[in-house]
Formats: sequence, structure tokens, C-alpha cells
Amino acid sequence: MGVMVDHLAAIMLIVVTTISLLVQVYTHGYMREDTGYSRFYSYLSLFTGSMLGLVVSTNLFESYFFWELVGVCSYFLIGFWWHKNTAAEACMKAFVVNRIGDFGFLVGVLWFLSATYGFWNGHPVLMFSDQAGYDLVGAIKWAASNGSLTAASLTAISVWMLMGPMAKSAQLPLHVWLADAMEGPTPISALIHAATMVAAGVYLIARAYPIWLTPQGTTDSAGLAIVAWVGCITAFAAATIALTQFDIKRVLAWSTVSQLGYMFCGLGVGAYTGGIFHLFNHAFFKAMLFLCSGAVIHGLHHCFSHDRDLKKRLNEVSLMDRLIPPDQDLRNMGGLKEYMPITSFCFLIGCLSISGFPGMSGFFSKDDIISSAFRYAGPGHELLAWGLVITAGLTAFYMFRAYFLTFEGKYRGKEKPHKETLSVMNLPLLALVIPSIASGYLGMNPGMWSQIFGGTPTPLPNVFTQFLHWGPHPEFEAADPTVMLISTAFGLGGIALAYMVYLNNLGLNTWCQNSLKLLYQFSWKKWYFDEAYIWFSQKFALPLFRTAWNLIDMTIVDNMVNLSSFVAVGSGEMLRYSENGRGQWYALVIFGSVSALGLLYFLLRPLG
Amino acid sequence: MEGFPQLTTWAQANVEQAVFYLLAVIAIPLAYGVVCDRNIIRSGFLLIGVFSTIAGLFILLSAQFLALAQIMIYGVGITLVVVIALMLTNPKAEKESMPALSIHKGPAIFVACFLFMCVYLALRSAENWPVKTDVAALSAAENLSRIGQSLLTNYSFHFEFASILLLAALIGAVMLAKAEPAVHDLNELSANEDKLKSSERADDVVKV
Amino acid sequence: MQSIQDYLGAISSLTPVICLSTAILFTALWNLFFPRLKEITPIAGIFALLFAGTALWQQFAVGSITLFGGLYTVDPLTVLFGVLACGVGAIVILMTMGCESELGRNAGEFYTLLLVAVLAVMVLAGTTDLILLFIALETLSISCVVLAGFSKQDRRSNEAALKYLISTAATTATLLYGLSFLYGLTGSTSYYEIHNKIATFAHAPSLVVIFTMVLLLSAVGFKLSAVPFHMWTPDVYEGAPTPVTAFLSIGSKAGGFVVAIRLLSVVFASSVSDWSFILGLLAIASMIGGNLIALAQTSFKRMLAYSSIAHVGYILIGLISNSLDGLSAVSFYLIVYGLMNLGAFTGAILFCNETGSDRIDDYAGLFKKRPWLATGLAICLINLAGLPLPPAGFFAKAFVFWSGIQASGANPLAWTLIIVALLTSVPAIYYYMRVAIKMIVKEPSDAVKKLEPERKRMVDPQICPDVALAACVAGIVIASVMVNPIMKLAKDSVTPVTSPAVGMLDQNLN
Repeated sequence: MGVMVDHLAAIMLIVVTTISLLVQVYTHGYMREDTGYSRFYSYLSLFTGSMLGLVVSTNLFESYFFWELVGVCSYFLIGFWWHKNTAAEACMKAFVVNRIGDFGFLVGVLWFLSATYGFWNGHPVLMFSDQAGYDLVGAIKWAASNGSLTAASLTAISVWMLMGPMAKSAQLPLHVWLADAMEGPTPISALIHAATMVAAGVYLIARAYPIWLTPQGTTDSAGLAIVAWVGCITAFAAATIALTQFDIKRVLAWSTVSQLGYMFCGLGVGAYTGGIFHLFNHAFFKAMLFLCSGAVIHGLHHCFSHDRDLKKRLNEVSLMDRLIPPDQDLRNMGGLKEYMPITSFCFLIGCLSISGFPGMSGFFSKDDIISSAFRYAGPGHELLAWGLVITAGLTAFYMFRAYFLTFEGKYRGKEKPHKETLSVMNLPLLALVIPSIASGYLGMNPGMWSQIFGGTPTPLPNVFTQFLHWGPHPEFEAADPTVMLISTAFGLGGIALAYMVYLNNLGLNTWCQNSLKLLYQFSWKKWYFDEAYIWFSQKFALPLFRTAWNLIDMTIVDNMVNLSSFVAVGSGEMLRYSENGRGQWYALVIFGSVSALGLLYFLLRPLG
Repeated sequence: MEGFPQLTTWAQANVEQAVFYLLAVIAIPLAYGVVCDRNIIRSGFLLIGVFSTIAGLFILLSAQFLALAQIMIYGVGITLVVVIALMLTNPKAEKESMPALSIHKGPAIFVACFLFMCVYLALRSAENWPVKTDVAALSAAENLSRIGQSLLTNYSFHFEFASILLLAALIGAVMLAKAEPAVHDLNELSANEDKLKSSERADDVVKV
Repeated sequence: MQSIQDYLGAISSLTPVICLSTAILFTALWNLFFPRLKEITPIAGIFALLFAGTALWQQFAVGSITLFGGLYTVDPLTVLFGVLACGVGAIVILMTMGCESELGRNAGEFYTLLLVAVLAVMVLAGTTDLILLFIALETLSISCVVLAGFSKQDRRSNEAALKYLISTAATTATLLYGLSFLYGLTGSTSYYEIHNKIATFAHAPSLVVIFTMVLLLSAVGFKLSAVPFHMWTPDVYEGAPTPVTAFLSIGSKAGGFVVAIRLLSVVFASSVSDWSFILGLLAIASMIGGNLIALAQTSFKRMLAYSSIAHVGYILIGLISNSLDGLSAVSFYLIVYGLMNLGAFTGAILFCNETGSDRIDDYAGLFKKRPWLATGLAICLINLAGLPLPPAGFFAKAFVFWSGIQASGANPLAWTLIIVALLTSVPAIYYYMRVAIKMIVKEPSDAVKKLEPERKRMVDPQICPDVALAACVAGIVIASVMVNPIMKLAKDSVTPVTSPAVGMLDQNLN
């Protein structure tokens, strides 16, 4: 155990502490009337503590410990309203999916440890970095030079280990839990399931980056290619799912999955700085978006709270055929700008930022990742980059769809929401507006603009890259006007399309639902992942497990029970036999044992 | 008479061995008698005999002081006192009332054989017992002064600590032997004490 | 022992021993002269223990001193175990003050004998001489025999005393036989000299050395109640008054362990592989036997008795690894185990005082009536089970297992030991947690239902077991938080007996 704060950890510390503070402030407003107010705060603090522990961990085992701890906090908080059936099922789902991932992670770590076992030699094992060189880099070099680790086995280790980050950061195919985790209270969705914990997977990859590289330490490894492809596919798939969802929190959740895919892809294509930069920016604007959605839900809650029948049904229905709570349903909203101007403004900023609108923070980091993907030399890099670009367009579309359906147009509900007053819930929102716009400029050099609009772009230094980079020296990259133009065009196109469909009533929506029914259903049902998993577990996994368990139960557990009762009864019998004068019997046993031990040893000695 | 000097030299050379075997021949049946005799008083007297033969062994090892102490303290002192105490407190003890050992007899003999085998193997294995050959036997007085010196210097702490052992044993013996009032008496007693106390307290109050 | 100055110096190093001896005389005589003021006796005992503990603590920094020509050693190991004994004694006195009625009219003598037992453990910790070892061990045994038979009204208590006496006599015989072999082989009673002599043997270790070792280990194993020298444990634990059981389960065990540490790592340092094999057999038997039989118990005290056998098995793993880590893990485990076990027994006393029952089923639902008692007891049980909540018990187990794993190169039994330890931890978790869960989750049993909603606050001594339980729980929490300082302490304390320092001591002798 130890504490390590390097530049990477420092950036995470900023993210975790800032957002955690703001969420704690926000929670006071949001949860004030909840009976679990103090319980919630204690979980929140436990989570923050564990997350900070994870960030400052010095080695993989310590990370694993805190990794599990944040997982447990997440489990508690998803199931915070445990009386809701959906919440109870959702936290179980998150738990199970994360166990699968963590199992793989542990296998990878242990494999790696066994491959490099001789290297540590008394030093703390699996250190991320160490002055004397007893860290992951040194271990890989050592193992590669003495042959206990080949490029292929390192790739295999990295794939096993990737399962952990994939589950935690909700990457395909272990992404199924994150959307359902939105059953927890909204501040939790903002803090854990958008900004910090889910980014832990990305953070871990960055932390243990050498494992994903080639044994020589270059970035053209199969491990990273897998990371990139997982990220890209996830980003695209999640974006298509988000297109059709009506629950405001689910839309945001799927966008989180999609953005995490970007980060994975960024790390995968070698844009180490870009991936973390996107993590950094995304944390702020996504936390803000979630807090906004919380404010909306809070504002609409009273319109539906008197419907007891509905409430009962919402509580009892199971996760698979879950109903969208009316206060989270985009179809019941509209025109809320009038009632909650501050929230609407913040939400708009968030949407612009996530869509990569030029000048907002998301623009810089996303652009960094996409241009790196274009430069990437690995397999299918063109496809990868174009996938990301298209996803950027989809992102802009669904985010503005959410914005327009919520805040613009006419209010579609029956009862009017309250007018917003400046409250403890708005302050964190306004505070988060600043980094949502400004944090991107950390990764920019003002000279860039002049180069783009005239002259040839040359690499210019920027603050973020200087602060955080892989390898001994920062590598600055020149701004790429073509890429910028393309992605900006896609983003603006998405926004325009959303505007036309949802505010100008282009009719595209109904056309899609009718003509492209198959595609629409595919997106609406989230690519049928849940159905497939349930089918698989019902048909194969559970019966198999049940058979195995019965076998174990019959052979081992039953025998254990029999043995213990046999021993108890046996000793009782022995004592009854010697009922009269047990004392002498004890003395006899002592002498007998002495001689037996002695003789036993005399006999065994020649063998030893 | 050619052989006689030879015999004397042999006897002189092996007198220790002869005496040792003599003592052993006496001690072993006596010890066996202590364990197996059904009359506890009789086995007590046999124990005195065992202790005396062991005192003889001490003399063979030229530990005169220990030999005397053995006879005086163990042989005569403790064992005799115990036997007499048994006779006084339990007049029926003379009867052959020892609980039969028969239940454990089989296992006990088995364990004894086992243990003997163990000890035999162990003793046989040591080729290099440190036998002191060159040391002249100390005189009784020298012997005594050495023991005294040790007891007052290096072994003084042991000596003092043994008194704590004896103190504990004494307190324990007194405590266990003391006649205890039956439970209901005890309750009455404490009730009386309480009454006494409260009345005293009342007196105090009056006095004040 | 050269001069009067040496002698006076030795006496000043023995201040804690002298202090306790004075307290023993005081408590023995006070009741005789002032029977009305007998309440003072236990308080005086506690103060004497605290004073002796503090005086010992002063010596921690002094390092190793040998007194009386190497027959008695004052080193950090002596200090640690002495302080442990004093702490155990103080807590046991607190426990006893709450159930004096069990002892009849002899409560004053009870404290005297308890102090004698504590003193014996303290001397055992420091002795490096065969004769003193024997005297101290006998003192401990005799005082424990009498203590076990203290409830004269209770037939089971008498039986317990008798059984303990007979078994202890048997092991005294084996011990003395072993000691006389050792003296015969080497011609010395000092540990250090014996160590040097044995090291010079040509065919070391010959069978006779091993047999001697077995004889000595049987006496130590008896004190530790390791299988197969454990037969007396359940009877005596169940029959003896509960505070005595508590003392036997940790006080006299600490004595046994310190003797084992000194004997094995100083006297028999040259035949590590032999004694680690024998102890390994004992440990495996203890872990399996203790845990399996504890599983089937219905009486709480009996369950604790059998499980204490299992704990001895775990601790032995640390001893077997015979490294700095292993021995310090033993010390750490003993400290933590002492706290948890004393806490559990105190809980049993508090429960028994009110309900008169000892059955595990009767503990059900205690949380609803006595939340603090149930919480404290549950914390102790959870730690005994080795679950990390708070993690003192878990760390203790982890350290011991880890030291066992590290020693796996030298000892062929090491992996078997670890596997057995891990496997047998499962039933241990089950039977401890069964009680804890019963207390907190289940509906109240009949015995608990009969309890008053508020406990009657009787006169002062009744509150003392509460203090004892609180002290134990606080100790567990502190041990969980300050794992590192305590572990460092434990490391410092065993450093003198790990091999390099023994050589140093040899030079000190001359």
C-alpha cells in the first residue's frame, strides 16, 4: 500500500474532487426530502474515498482492492431505492457484469505476476512506476529479455486484463449494466456513472499502459489495436442506441458509453494524452448534463407524484419490461426553457460541448482523438477514424434531440412544472459551465487558429500535453484543418437534422418508425443484447451451473457435514468410553502421543 | 589363589556397576508395586522404598547432599506425612478400594511398551554421552558449599521464585480444604452481613 | 554473578516481578486483616498489574540484558509477553469483579492466585534456564489448577480442577524427563550454553535430541492445548469459572508460546527442520480437530474452547516458519487473539449473569434487548472468524499465513499447512458468524425475551465486565488502525531470538 501522485493521478484527483464536491452540494437540494438522506451522504463519501484511493494507488493489487471498493459503492448506490424492483435488479446486474470483468482482470494480473515473478525479488510487486526501475516497464523488459513473456503472451495478458476496464467502463459486450444503473438517484448517475467511476477503466489502462504496448514499448501492438476497436465499436453502437431512447437519463447514459468508447479508442490508437484529455473534459460536461437532467426530473416530479397506481406499477415491474417514469420521459416534456432557464442554458452548453461544437471543450479532445485515429497505422485505421466521425454526427443529433424535446417547443405534460428559482441545485450547474467551456483550451495553443486560416500547420506546444504525456518527452501535433472541418461538419449536420426533425416537424421521425421499422426496433431494443444474454443464461449457463453445483453439493458439502458430525459423535463416544476416570485416560493419551510422535519421527527420519 | 587378586581388581573396577544393578533390581519391583498395589497405604510405604533406592543412586553419582535430601525430604518427610494423613482422614483407605485399573490396562501396557521402545531407541542413538572421567569426586562438604553458593548467587532468583510457588500451593490447599458453608447458608450469611452493615450505617447516621 | 553491584543491578531489572510479588502478598494478607474492605483487593491487583506493566514497558528500549549469568533474560520479547500477561490479568480481574458470587467467600484468594499466574507467565517470558522454566511452569499450572476449582459448590468445577491436575502432572513428568536428558547431554541449564553445546554435536541432531524435543514439546503443547494434548481443554474450559477459562485460553497460552519461541529458536536452533515437522503435525491436527468439533457445539463456552484449539494451530504456522516475519506474526496474533477472546468471554459472562444460560441458541435476538453487548460481542466474534471488520483479526491471520507461505521453501509441510489452514477457516467462519448472525438478525429467544428492557444497574463491580468488554473492543479497533506500529513492536520484540542476535548474546555471557 502506498500513495503515488504523478501527473496522471493529479488530473484524476482534480476531476474526482471537483465533481464530488459539486455533487455533494447538489445532493443537499436533490435528496433533501428523501428518507435516506444521511445514508446517501455516507455512501457518497465512501465512494469518493475509495475512488481517491484508486487514483493514488501505487500498484496493481492496491488498485484492484479499491477497484472492488468503488464497485461495491456503485452497487449500494444503484440499489439505493431498493424497494423499487428495477433498482434491485439493476444493482444485481451491475454487480454480476462487473464480477465477470473483474474475474478476467484478476486472471490477467495473476498471469502477468507469474510471468514476471522473479523480477520483483523483494521489491513491492506490480508497481506502476518506481525510481529504481522496479515497475511495470522494467518487469516487461526483464521478462521479454529472458523469454518468459513474448509479444503473444503479453497480448493475451492485456486482453484478459482489458476485461476489467471493459466492464467498469461499460464497453461492448459488457456494457449492459450502465444504462440500467440509471435506476439510482441522479446525483449518483452524475458522479459515479458518468464522470468518475466509469472513467476508472480508462484510467487503469492509462496507468498500466505498458501492459498494452509491445514488449519493446512501442504503440503498434495488438493489445492496443483491440482496445481501439472495442472503443470504436462501442462508441458507434451506443450512439445508435441513444438515438431512439425516450428516458432522458438513459439517453445521457448511452452517450456516456459512447464517449467512453472514444476514450478507449483514443488510448488504443496511441493518443494517450488525447484519451485522458477527453476523460477530463467529458467528466465536467457530462456531470453537468446529468445534474441538469436531475433538475428537470426534480422539477417535474410533483406533476406525477399523486398517481399512486402508477407509482406502484413502477415499483413492481421488472427490469426487462420496465416503464419509463413519466418525469423522465422526453415525450412528457417540452418547452421547459420557459420554466427553468438556468438548467436549460447549462444543458445547452453541455450539448454543444459533447457535440464537438468549435470552441467548446469537447471539440478539442474529440478532435485530438479523431485526428490521431486518422494518423494511426494499425489495422483498418480508416474505418476506425470514419466510425468515430460518424459517431460524432450521431452524438450531435441525439444530444440535440434530447435538448429540443426537453426545453424547446411546447410543454406536452398536463400539469405545469414549478418555475425554477435559484437554489442549491443550480449553483453546481453554473459552476460546471466554466470547465465545460474552458477546460478544452488547456489543450490548445492560440497560435493554432492563425495557422489553420493561413500558412502550414506546425506542431505547437500546449499546456495539457506538456503536463501529461506517455514517454519521456511530449509529442505535440499540428492541428489538422481537414479533420477539424470534417468532424465539425458532421457535428453541425447532426444538430441541424435534430432541429429539422424535432422542431420543424420534418416527419422524419414517423417515417423512420414506419419504414425502417427493423432498424428502429434494433436501436430501441439496444441491439438485443439483454435478450441475448438472458437467453444464453437461461438456456445454457444456469442449467450447467445448477448441475455442477448439485454435484459439488452432493460430493463435498454433504461429506463435510457428515464428517463434522462424525467427528463430534466420535469424540463423544470416546469420552463416554472413558467416563470413569477420564483424568487417567488423558494422562495416558499424553504419554501415548509423546511416544507416537517420537517413533513416527524416528521412522520418517531416514526418508528426510 | 592366583585368581583372587584378579577378582578383587575386577570388583574394584566394577563395584559401581554392581551396586547400580543391585539398586535397580530393588527399585524396579518396588516402583511396579507402587503403581499396581490396590492398597493405597501399602503403596505409600513402597514409595518410600523407591525413594531410598534412588538416594542410593545419587550416592553412586557422588551427590551426597542430594541423596540425604532425598531421604529426608521425600522418603521420610513428604511421603510419610501423606501416608499418615491418609490414614487419619480416611480410615477406610486400608481396604483395597483402589479403582480397578482394568479398563485402561490394555492401552496402558501398550503405551508403556511403546514409550520404552522410544526411550531405548533414543538412548542407543547417542554415541557421545559426555561422560566425565577425570573429575575427582568432591567431598561432601565441598559439594554442599557449591550448592549453597549457587543458591545464593546465580540461582538466587530460582530460590526466591520457588517460594511463590509454595505460597500459591499453600493458599490453594487451604482454600480447597477449607470447609465451605452450603449455598443457602452462604446466602443467609451475606444477608446477615448486609443487615449488619445497614444497621451500622444507621448507627453512623444517628451518631452524626 | 561477580559482585554485589551485579546483584543489585539484576534486582533493579526485576522491578516488575518484585512489584507483582508484593501485590500477591498484599492481596493475600489484606482480606485476613480487613475482611470488611475486601473490595479493595481487585483494585489493588489492577493497579499492581498496571504498575508492573509500565515498569516492564520502560525496559523495552533497553535492549537485551542477561541476568544471573545468563539464566534470566530481559529483552523486548520478555517485555512484550510480560505486558501482554499484565493486560490479560487486568481484564480478567475486571471480568471477575462482575461475577464474584460464583467464587463464594474466597474472592480475595482468587485475585492472589490470578496474580501468581500472571507473575508465572511474566517469568516464563524471561527465563532462559531449565530450572527456572520448570519452576515457573509449575507455578502457572498449580495456580491454574486451584483457579479452575474455585467454584467449590459446582461439581463441574471440582472435576475440572482434578482433570487439569492429573493431565498437568503427566506433562510435568514428560517435561522433567526431557529437561533431565537435556542437562545430561550438555551439562548445563542455561539455554545459551545448551545451544552452543548442541551445535557442536557431531551427528546432530541425534535421535536423543529429537526425543528430548518431543518431550518438551508435549509439555508446551499441553499448555497450548494443541491436538493431541488437548483432551483436558473442553472439560476444564466448561467447568472452570468463566474468568479462569478466559485466562487459560490466552494467559497461559501466551506463556506456552513464549516458552516455545525461546526453547525452539534458541536451544534447538540447529534442528529447525525437525521441530518444524513435529509442530507441523500438531498444527494440522489442531486446525482440523478444533474446527470440526467446534462446529457441532451447542454451548458457547465449549465452542470457544474448541475453537481456541484451532487458533493455536494457526499461530503454530507462524512459529514453524521460524523467521522474523513468522515470529512477529505470532506475537501480533497473540495480542489480537487475546483481545478478541477476552471480549468474547466477557460477553459470555455478561450474558450468563443475566440469563444464567450458556446455550448458543439462547443468544438469538440479543441485539434487540442489549444492543451494545450484542455489538461488542459480534465484533469480537467477527474478528475471531478472521473477517476484516475491523480488520485486526484478518490481519493477524493474513500475517501468519503469509509467513507460512514465505517459509514454504524450507519446510516440506508448509503448503499442506496453508491449505489446511485456509480450508478449515471456512467452518470457523461458519460457527462464529452463526452466533453473531443469531444475535443480530434472529427473533429473540425465550431467555432473551425474559430480560428486562433496561439492565438493573447493580453496585459498582457489576459494571466492571462492561468496562472489560469495552476495553477489548477498543483494543481491537486500535489494533486494526495501528497495524503497522504494533507489527513493528512485534518485530522488535522477536528480533533478539532470531539467529544473529543469539550469537551476540553468547558474547555477552562471557
